[in-house]
Amino acid sequence: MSRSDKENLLLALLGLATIVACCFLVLILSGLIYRGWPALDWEFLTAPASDFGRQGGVFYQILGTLILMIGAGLISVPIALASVLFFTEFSPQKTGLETYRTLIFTLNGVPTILFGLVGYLFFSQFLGIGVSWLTGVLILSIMILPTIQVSILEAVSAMPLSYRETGMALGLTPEQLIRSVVLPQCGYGVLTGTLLGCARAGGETAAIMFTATAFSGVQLPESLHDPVTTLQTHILTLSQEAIDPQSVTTAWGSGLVLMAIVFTLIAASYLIRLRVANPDGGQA
Amino acid sequence: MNAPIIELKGVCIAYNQRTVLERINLSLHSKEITTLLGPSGSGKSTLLKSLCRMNDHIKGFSLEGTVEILEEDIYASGVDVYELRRSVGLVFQKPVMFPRSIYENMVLGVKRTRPEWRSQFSDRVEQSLKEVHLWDEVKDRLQEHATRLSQGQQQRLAIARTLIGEPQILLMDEPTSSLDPKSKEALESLAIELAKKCTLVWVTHDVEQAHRISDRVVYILEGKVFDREKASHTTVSPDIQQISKGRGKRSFFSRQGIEGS
Ligand SMILES: Nc1ncnc2c1ncn2[C@@H]1O[C@H](COP(=O)(O)OP(=O)(O)OP(=O)(O)O)[C@@H](O)[C@H]1O
Ligand SMILES: [Mg+2]
Repeated sequence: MSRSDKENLLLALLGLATIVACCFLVLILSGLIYRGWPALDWEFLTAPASDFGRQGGVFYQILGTLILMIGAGLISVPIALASVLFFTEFSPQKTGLETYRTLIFTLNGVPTILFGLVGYLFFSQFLGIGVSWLTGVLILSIMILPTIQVSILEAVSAMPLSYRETGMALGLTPEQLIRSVVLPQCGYGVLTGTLLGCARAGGETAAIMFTATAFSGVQLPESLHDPVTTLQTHILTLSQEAIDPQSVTTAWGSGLVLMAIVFTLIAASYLIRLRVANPDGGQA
Repeated sequence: MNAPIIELKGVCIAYNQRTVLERINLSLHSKEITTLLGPSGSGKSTLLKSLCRMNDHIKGFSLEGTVEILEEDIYASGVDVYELRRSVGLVFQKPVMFPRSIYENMVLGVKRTRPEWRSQFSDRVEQSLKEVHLWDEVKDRLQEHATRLSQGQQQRLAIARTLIGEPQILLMDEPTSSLDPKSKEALESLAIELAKKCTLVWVTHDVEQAHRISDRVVYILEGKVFDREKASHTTVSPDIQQISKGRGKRSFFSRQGIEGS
């Protein structure tokens, strides 16, 4: 087999893989839209659920998902940023950076149910918060931490060394360097990381099932110890009643709404990356 | 002559135990232009950066001996390295422009390091840009992206950005190597002007240039410095070749440097 034959074969295989991946995405999306669309209307988005979720809308489910997502982001982003900058900006000669990198990549691969389990034992039981939105927020914030850290770390590592050196040569202290050079040049990493992390939190079901949510009879939490109801757990519970067509339609509708939220976040992060790749400054 | 502004005593520099510069003694006086001349890889940039401790963050870098600037040992513990870098400015070989406006680039450092000047920023920007003869070219486009400037303009902007912080010593690492002959000439005469108010250390491997602009030429070869006043030399190129050859033969037996000044 000649060299170019091999290359063509490789190209064909890669193309096939891409097509398969795209097909799955299209299949999922079209299925979701086809089945979920009939459920969607203004009332579905703005009315509370009734009849154990079979009737009515998903207003509080949307709110619950957003509360967990935004809460997790608010806690996770500052921690992720501080920990990355500690290793890249403050540790002398970047000691520990490689270990740190390995650690966050490993954490990123831990099954989410384990976060749920450990979080349940620690926050819910040990700290006595109980099954509550706060437990969920805390668990999710730890879960999405590595996602955000990876994104920030890649952005900071991708920054040209010359920027850093120029700032240092002007006499900037590490804090000043962060504010004047690192954050302005790497802010997109913080932003995309936040959006991707939130998207991940928004789609998470296993870790919050038995730690933060209740299925019905829940509206907005009134104290730190109240559970919420979310789109993802709503879908799960409803689809278990597969014989009832109304439940199934509501489940698909909820799925579509959830997908819309997550896709918006991912699309936004994609657009930011695109804009960073082609800044209008005409820079090479 | 008054006390030297930069004084190196027995300085040895190594990267990962590999010696780059050996037992260097050197004293430079205020408001002179000194050029560091030597072949590629001889340690010119290394020596220059050690004067503002820009090597500190490099893994495996080590320095022995003392480097005194303004009669202070800058490698002693307790030295404020950020304050040091404010009084010892460094300009790189390739101008580094941040993807922001010309004005933003100018105040990038002083915005943080000299916040008390805030009300005078625009005056100081103007003054520094005039010093590097860039003001007339950019005065109407201060809000434009600095990356749109030509290489020569960017290099002058980089110098102005350093000058605005009022350094007492200005280190320049091959500042003309990416420039066309005309910008090069402009920068050389700029250096001579600047030497009226601060001390310049200029790295180059252009022998002619070194002798055009400097009060003093310091050769760096195989880890040693050979340091003479400009006046004592008329023919330069053969001289440096000779030293180079001589060192090549002798270095196996003797590591003693020739001390100048
Ligand atoms: N970060 C580093 N780590 C290890 N060795 C280095 C490092 N920087 C420079 N060196 C080594 O130190 C020696 C001197 O390098 P330096 O950059 O100072 O040379 P130079 O005289 O400035 O050369 P040029 O004219 O090419 O710029 C070289 O042998 C180089 O390989
Ligand atoms: Mg160099």
